[in-house]
This record gives sequence, C-alpha cells and structure tokens, in this order.
Amino acid sequence: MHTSPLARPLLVAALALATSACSGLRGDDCESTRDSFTDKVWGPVMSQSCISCHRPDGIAAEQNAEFILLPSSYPGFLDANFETIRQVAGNQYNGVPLLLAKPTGMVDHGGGKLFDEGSDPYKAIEKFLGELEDPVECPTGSDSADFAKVDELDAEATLRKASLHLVGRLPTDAEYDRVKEGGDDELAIVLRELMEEDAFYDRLKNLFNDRFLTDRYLRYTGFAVNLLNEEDFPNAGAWYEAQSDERKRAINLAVAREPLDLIAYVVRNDRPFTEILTAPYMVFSPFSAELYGLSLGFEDANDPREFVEGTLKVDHEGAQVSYPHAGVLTSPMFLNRFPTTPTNRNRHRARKLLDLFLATDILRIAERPIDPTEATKYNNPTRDNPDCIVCHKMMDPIAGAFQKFGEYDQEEFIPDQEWHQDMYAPGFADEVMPTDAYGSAPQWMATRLVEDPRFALATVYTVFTGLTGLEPLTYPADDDPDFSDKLAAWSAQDALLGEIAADFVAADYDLKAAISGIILSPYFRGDNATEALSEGEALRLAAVGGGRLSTPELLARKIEATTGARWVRPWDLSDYLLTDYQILYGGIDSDTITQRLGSMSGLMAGVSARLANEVACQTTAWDFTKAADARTLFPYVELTTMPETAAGEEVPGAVEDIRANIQYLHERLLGERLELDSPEVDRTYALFRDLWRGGFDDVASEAEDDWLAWQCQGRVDPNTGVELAEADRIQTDENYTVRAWMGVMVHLLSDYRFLYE
Amino acid sequence: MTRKHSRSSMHSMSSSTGNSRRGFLKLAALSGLAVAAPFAIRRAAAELTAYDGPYFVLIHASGGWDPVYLCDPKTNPELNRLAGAPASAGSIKYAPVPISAAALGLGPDAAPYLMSNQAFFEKYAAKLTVINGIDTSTNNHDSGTRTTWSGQIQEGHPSFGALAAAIRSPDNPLAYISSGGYDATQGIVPLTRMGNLDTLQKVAFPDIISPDDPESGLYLPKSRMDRIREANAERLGEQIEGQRLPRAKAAMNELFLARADDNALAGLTFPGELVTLPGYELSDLQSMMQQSQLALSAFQAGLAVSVNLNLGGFDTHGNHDRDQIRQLAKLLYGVDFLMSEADKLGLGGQITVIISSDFARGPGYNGLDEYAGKDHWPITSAMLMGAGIAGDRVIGSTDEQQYAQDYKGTTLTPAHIHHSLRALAGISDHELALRFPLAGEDLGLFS
Repeated sequence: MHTSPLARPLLVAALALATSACSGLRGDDCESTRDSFTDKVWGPVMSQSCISCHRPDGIAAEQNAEFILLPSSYPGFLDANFETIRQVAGNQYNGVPLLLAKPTGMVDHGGGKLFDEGSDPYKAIEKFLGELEDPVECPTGSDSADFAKVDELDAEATLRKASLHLVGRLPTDAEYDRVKEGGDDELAIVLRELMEEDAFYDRLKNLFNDRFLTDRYLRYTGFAVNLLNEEDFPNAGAWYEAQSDERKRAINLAVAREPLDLIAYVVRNDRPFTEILTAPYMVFSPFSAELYGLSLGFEDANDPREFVEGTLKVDHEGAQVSYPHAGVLTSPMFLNRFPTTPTNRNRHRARKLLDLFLATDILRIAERPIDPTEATKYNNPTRDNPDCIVCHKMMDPIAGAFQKFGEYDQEEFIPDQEWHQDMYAPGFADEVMPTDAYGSAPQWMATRLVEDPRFALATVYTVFTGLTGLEPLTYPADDDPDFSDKLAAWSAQDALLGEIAADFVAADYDLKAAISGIILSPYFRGDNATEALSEGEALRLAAVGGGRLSTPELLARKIEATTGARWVRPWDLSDYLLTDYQILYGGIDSDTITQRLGSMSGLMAGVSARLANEVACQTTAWDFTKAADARTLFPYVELTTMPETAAGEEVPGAVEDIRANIQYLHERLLGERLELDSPEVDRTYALFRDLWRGGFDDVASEAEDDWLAWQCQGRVDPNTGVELAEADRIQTDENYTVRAWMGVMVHLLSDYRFLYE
Repeated sequence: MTRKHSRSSMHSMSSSTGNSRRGFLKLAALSGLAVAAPFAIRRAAAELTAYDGPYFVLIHASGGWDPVYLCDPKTNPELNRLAGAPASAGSIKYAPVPISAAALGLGPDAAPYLMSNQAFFEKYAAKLTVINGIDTSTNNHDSGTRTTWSGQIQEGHPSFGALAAAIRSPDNPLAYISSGGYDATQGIVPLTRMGNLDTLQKVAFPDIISPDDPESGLYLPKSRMDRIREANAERLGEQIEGQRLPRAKAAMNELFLARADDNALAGLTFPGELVTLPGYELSDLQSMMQQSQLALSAFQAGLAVSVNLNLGGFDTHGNHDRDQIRQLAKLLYGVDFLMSEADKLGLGGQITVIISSDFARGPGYNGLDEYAGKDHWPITSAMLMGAGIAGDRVIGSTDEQQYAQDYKGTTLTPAHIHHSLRALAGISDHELALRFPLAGEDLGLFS
C-alpha cells in the first residue's frame, strides 16, 4: 500500500526549505530550489500533465502508484509534492531517473509518453533533480527579496498596532521605551507579555469565534442552555429557569463560550495548541460547572474568568458513563453548532473538521459537475459512484469520529450506537480505526488530526486571517493572465506561512509563537512601498500590509483605548458597535451572518460619520472637566486657550500650545509621530483655527448659542453614566473652544488611519 | 422615480450634512487621484443620480428547496406523498399541499403568516414564469448556491445582483444590499447590509443629534461640518497619493468612494415601523420581511439596484414533510409581503423578483417513516415575476423521476438563466459582464 502524501511530515520539508540563514544564499536575485520547483517544474509541467493521473483520486492512485501528487486545493501541497519528489528522485532505470524515464516512455508508463528526451519539460525536471543534490535556500520573511520594496512599520509602530489589536490598549511609555531601545527582539518579548493579559484572551475568543461561530448561542439568554438535554444535564431544566436573570445570562454565556474558553485556557496555560482537540477534559467556569452539575472547587464562585478542568458523566440506561472528551470535538456547543441528522451521518462535521483543523476545503478538492443520470445507477453512490467517492472516501471515515453521538440530540453520548455499515469504515487518511477504539473515537481522531501537518498550517491560517483580515492566497488558475505575478505572490506567502507553521510546531505548538510570527511579518507590518510599483510588483504585493477595515469589535476597543471613553448606548452602556451597529458595520452575528465585510460601503461610511460625531461630542467637554495632567485628549490647552484675540491678532503662546495638542492628538488617535511644523499639524491647526474663528464670532454676534448641546456637555462620565457635581460641569462654550476641538476630533476620528488597521 | 421625488421631510434636516459628492469628486479631479482603483468601472467625473429601476430582488431558499412540493409537481408517489394530483392556476401547475400550522409544528399564532401553494399560485400565476428542469450539476450547497446566483459553478464570479448593481448604478451608496445568499461581489461594487430602523436613521443623518426628533440640533453647524469634511477629504487625497502598497491604496480609495456623497442616504424614506411577528419560530420570516421593507425604501430613494433576501431551513434531510413545507409556506408569505409592499409604494412594476435555491431535493425520500427526509438533487427550479417577466408561463420540465428534460434541444442550466437575466437587465454586452463570461448561449428565456 502506498502512503498518502497527506500523512507525511511536509513541515519538515518546509522547515528545511524555509530556514532563513544558510550557506547557499545568492543575494536579492536568489532563486531557491523550492522557487525553481514552483516556477519551472510544478507550474509548467507537473501541474499540467502528471497531476491528472497522479492526484489522490486519479487513475495512478487507483492502481496503487507510489508517486502521488497533491493538487493545489490541498494546503501545503507544494512542500508535500517537493518532498514526494525528493523521496523518489533517486529511483532510476538504467541510470536515468524514473521521473524522466517514465514520461519519455523509456519504461512502461500508464500515462504513456508525455514528452521527448531533451524537450523543455525534460530539461526542467533534469535540472531540478540536479539542484536537489545541493539545494539552494534563500532568505524568507521580511528579509526575502519578495518583500524588498515593502517599507515596514518600525518596532514602536508595530507595537502600537499589535497592542491595539491584541489587548485593545495603547502601549505604555515603558513598553515604547523598551522597544525603542531593543528593537524587534524586545518587541517580540513585549508581544508575549501582552499575550498574558485578559483582554488578549477576549480577542482570541473573538478571533476563533469567526471560525467556530458558537457565539450564535449568545443571541438570547437561554439559547445555549436550552440545547442541552435534561436527562444528562438536569440543571438545564427547572434549576436554570429558577435562576435570576443576571445569573441566567452568566450561565448561558459560560455554556455557550465553553469551546472558545477551552482555546483560551490552553493558550493561557502555555499548553500545546494540539490540546484544543486532544484535551480529555472540558473547562468550566463556576457558572457552567453549576449548570453541568459539577463541584470543582473554585476559588471565587462568582469569577467568570476562573476556569477549572473537569469531566462529565452522563446517563446511559440507568448507569453513569464517562463522556469521551476530546477537546473541541466533543464540546456540546460545537456539536450543536455543526449538527448532524440520521441521513447526514456526521458528514457535515467531517467537512468542518477538515476545514477548521486541516485547512482543507473538501468542496474545492472535488468540485466537479454531477451527472444526475449517473447518480441512480448505483445502489450505494457514496461508495460506488466515482463522482461521489472523491469526497466521501475522505469525509466519511472522519465522520466516524462522531459515531457515538446522537443523530437527533447532538451532544447525547450513546455508547452502544452502531456505525453505518454501508459507509466507509471510520478512520483517517489510509488508517482504519480499530473497532476497539470506537468507544473513544473522538480521541482517536483528535490524535490523528493534530499529528497531521495540516493542523499547524490550519492554525496559522486562522491566526493570519484574524490578524490581517485576509484569507491566505489561493494558487492561481493556470489560465490566469497574471499567473506568474500571482504565483510569485502565492509562493512568497506560502513559504512564509509555512515557516511560521514550522516555528509553531518547533515551539511545541505554542500559539503565541504563531501570533508573533504573523505580527512580525510584512503582511501585518507593511506600511508602504519604498518606491512606485510596477503593475506586476503591485500584484506580487497585493496582500501585503495594512488596509484592513477594523472590525466592529476592534474599533470599539480602539475608541476606548484612544479617547478614554467607550461609545455606548446610554441606557445599558453596551457598545454601539457590538449591538446597534454590529451588522451595519460589517460584523457577524454568528448565526445567519457569518462573513465579515471587509470593504467600506456608503452605509458603513454613515456609521463612521456618526461615530466621529458622537464620540467627539461625548469626550471633548468631558475631558476638559479634568485637570490638565489627568486628561486623555487635551493636556496642553485650556478652554481659554484661543489662537487669536477677538480682533484677529495671533496669540503666540496659545498657538504653540494648540499646535502641541494637535501633535499629541495625531499620535494618540492615529499613531502619527509628527513634527510641530509638519504639514499635517498645519492642516489640523488651520482647521481648528477656522472652526474657532467662525464660531467665536458667531457666538459674539449671538448668531450661535454659547450653550453646548445637552449631549455634548461635560456633565456625565461617558463610561459609567454618573453625573458630575454641578460645579464641575462644562455646559457652556463662550470661547467656542470646546466646539472647535470637537471639530478636530471629528476630523481625526473620521480618518483612514483611525478606521483602518 | 427620482431621489428628488422620494425625499421625505427628513431630507430638509439632512441638508445640514453638507458636503456633496460633487465637491469630493472635484477635489479628486484637481488632485489627479485615481479614485477608480478598486472599482475599475467607476467614473471620477460622474454625478450621482437617483437610480430609477429596474430593481432586482433575488430571493434565496437556502439549503435546497423541493420543487416537487411547489412548482414542479409529480404524481409519482415515491416523490410525492403529500399533495395528491397537481393543481393548476392558468398554465402553471403546482403542488396543492395542504397547510396547517399545527401539523408544521407551529403555534396558532403562526397560521396567518403561512401561505399555501394554492393561495400563492392563484394570486400570482398571471405574473409568474416558472422554470423547471434546471441542471445545477452539483449536490454541494456552496457550489449550488454559487451557480444558481452567478451562473458559474467555479469560484470567482459575482452574483447577478452584484453585476447588475455594478453596471447599472455603480456609484450608488447602497447599490447592492444583501441579507444572505450568494453575494460575492468580486470587488466590483460595495456590499451593504442593513440593520434596524433606528440605526439606519442615525447613519443616514449622522450630523443630527437625534434623527427621530425633527427639532433636534446638529452637532456642529453645517458650515463647520463642511470645513471639517474639506480637511478630511484633502488629507485622504494626499494619503491616497502617497500610498503605493495596493491593499492600503485600495482601502483608501474605497473610503473615498463610500464618503463621496454624505448626503445620499438622506434620500431614504423609512417605513413607519418594521413588521414584527409572534414567536421565535417565525423570526426567520420576520427578518426576511423586515429586510424587504428596508430594501423597498432603498429602491424608492433611488439608492439601490439589487437586493438579496434569504430564508433558510430548506436543508431537510430529515422530517421533510414538516420542515420543508413549513419553510415553503413561510417563503411564499414573504414573497407575497414583498410584492404587496412594493405595490403600495408604486414600485411593483419596476421590480424583478427571482426566487430559487441551492439545488433541489430528491428524487424521493431517504426513508419510509414520516420523519424521512429528502437528500440533495441537482435538478431544480426557479420562479420569476415582475418587471420584464411574462406571466402564466412555464419553461422547461422534468419527468416523473425528476430528471431534466430538454428545452429547445438542450438541458437548461443556471448559465442559460443568467444569459437571459443579463439580457433582461440590459447588461449582457457591458465590459464588466464580459469579464465574467457564461457558458452556453442566451435562449431568450424572458424575451
């Protein structure tokens, strides 16, 4: 029996190919053996001819050929194929490598003669086989020639961007100082420190929810709890209903979030990320433990962030049996979110496992027209019809992992439930699950999933998408007119993500290493190009750098981090962007809307305009109610600081203070470090001055009121809704400085650099 | 229909929103900006004009519906165990499935919101074109949804709604609105999702402190908001000019275009209130109906070209006779609501409605008991009505085993439907349509 390339350690090859320091470097025009394989062998030859028979579902595979190539729909296919070829490169016939002897017809070849000796394909393969004996390696990542024209954020700017993204706060002065002194090495250390904060774990759960979508069960109180069957989990019934509304919300949150909490728990405790699938336990907060009927000895029974490992026992025919915990795979919420039916037979779950944990979209692997007249020729199409087998051969054995779970009640464990004999036997890739493992099928499957090299890639892909807002590039279509440039873009990204995946594995599946890897890459740090790009260069760098529209969640945190106030509904202090505007601003509800919008529409621009107005209104006067050294936004000016006299003469000291505060606001809100005499400070100062002058004159002539609008008065703490004492309030604006600064705030809060990452 | 005609009293308040698209685009011209980068077909010098139709509503029955119990009835008892012999309304045959809220697992409150096939076809047959025997050539939800709404089974093609919007009114801020289904745009037009009424009013009038209060003031006077936006646009223009990495430059362009007319949304005339239905079991229908109301508002204001509506719950591998019929009854009620509301607003004659699904179900059941389901089946149907669609018409057919029968010597495919849809929308020969070619030919299905 041949071995599936999927089961081979392709990351070993990737690691070998992608290491950055080596003796074979050839400077900026370095072409690695991997690149040579991609450009000259895979693209023009093997992907065109060999793959049609030598793919996993091809004729050669059916005839047990050893030489199996993966098509581009498989993650990491290039490294896997490279490794496959490396392994068979030494096989010869009369001194001629079989890779040349077969397609030229020197020896028997099921596919016949494909090209002549001495032809271009022949020469390409011959040259490549020669290179394999002494492979050339090139720098990767930021040092790679692929990114030579990318101007990256420096360490401090990267820290700001990462800190806002990961923990929703600006870096401290001390953190800035450390990174300024220590550069990227220190940045990597500070990043890891950020990843110890609670806010990071909130972001992490948000990031993984984009894939798991289990926050669907937060849509109303009781949604998650009501999914649980009351025979196994009696507290899901009357006991739950008897709780207070507040406690019901807390319990429902804990139950719904359990798979995401497991992920956070594994990462927080520096466990190998593989444990998200292999964990022989669930994690419980005090609230979920009570619902599931467990006493786990919490330190604080009211702390929703305290998590303890535990296991479930469920009722089966009057006896208590152990639940076969396998991390997320057996999470009651995960099982409900990706449900099965008596006819679906867990295939949907198998598809999701392939997608979520192995980065394999089975729908792309087997996208082919169905001939309905063929379908009914077979008694058992999923086993016999070639159109069906291509998917079901991969999918159905994985579905067997869930064979002991109910097909009507998703999380019900039924130890004596039989698997469907007319389906492929449970298993993974070429390995059949032994029948004595059926009782622990999820654990058996989890072990195989995490050992598969695609698990690391899938994890890195998820992190990459979460941090950049982009899906990894797909291999370009052969007939794409921009094939070569898109191939170069794909190849550079594939190599870099492969390298990060290899580092992730080498660090014992430390997710923080993968997150740092993405943050330190040009895909996160790219700020501009060093010079104008040609059309081809632009295609090669199409996915590099900033430009990600902040999600509602990220923007909500950024508003608070930079202005010191959340943008909230006054009546319940919920963030507008997480409630009223979540869908409108391109967010998801994890239920029917599961894809984020990455582009600004006219309506979303309207949201951003209202955001700017409301946040400016609620924060400006409020900030001035505080002493200057306690202010978040206006530490260098007072309400009496006016740029000109009533007669229009400039007030020099005041102008300098105003410009200093503008400089400060540009850095605080937008991360721009500007000189006081920079054109941007000039522009914003001119804006301030014009707003102030017009308003000041209008107030003087009573064309405009000197009272601030009720909502814009400094009278209520925007974060708590608590009113200030009458004497401390700012309700009027005789000098028009509050409104002039409000205008500046609107300007900056509407800026591209505020709304995008 | 023009925007001028459709503006409500709300508009007079919105004049305070100041800056116009004209100002933005003038600035662009002065600074030599390539504002068209992300959406190549956009014209920098164009003025935004209210779009006055035709409008397209694409209704997706998500999960794979069963035409046998709708517009492609069968007598074969292996396929049909609910409806008996087909009934007719004019030339259109339908499955006379009886509807009972209780039998469909719903409470009595739900009964008024379910529409039977009989009621639907008797009301709309004179306006309907039914297409049966469409071979989607897939049993795969993603591929099926994609091919149904783009005409192409491969990835990388925009939905018909996106294409029509991008060609017919690309600069319109709400040109393509979607609440689900297949809404890939391939970057040719921005996609908009709509929320609830209050939030829409707030974003339509962002400079008014409380849009629901006509006496409410502005955050800052109009002249000062104009000055702020001038500074903002000037800065954004320079940011675009200075940016060379394509992703960031495209994002800046997109922001520029999205802001091009801050006043545009003021043309929306909002419905007095959005419908609410009793109980969680009708929440999917309620959502569809509310989205219909908002879509019609956008049409009425001349701000939208195409709208995707979506109703899920059709993937009935189990308990087909209850769940499929329940969703079909909801779907028809939702369509009826849309058409009725459109008529009330005087838009009925300008809207083309297309209703379809991922694929079909069957042939036959996957079990014998009452809880049996129907699995995926590639031969499906579509129903169309409204502007440009002839009524009382059936195109294509299937045999008693639910296999497609040739129409004009060929098997109908989604590509054929889309050829004719493009012709109907007058976009077949547009450069953008040609960038996304379809297989096969235009059979003139709607001509």
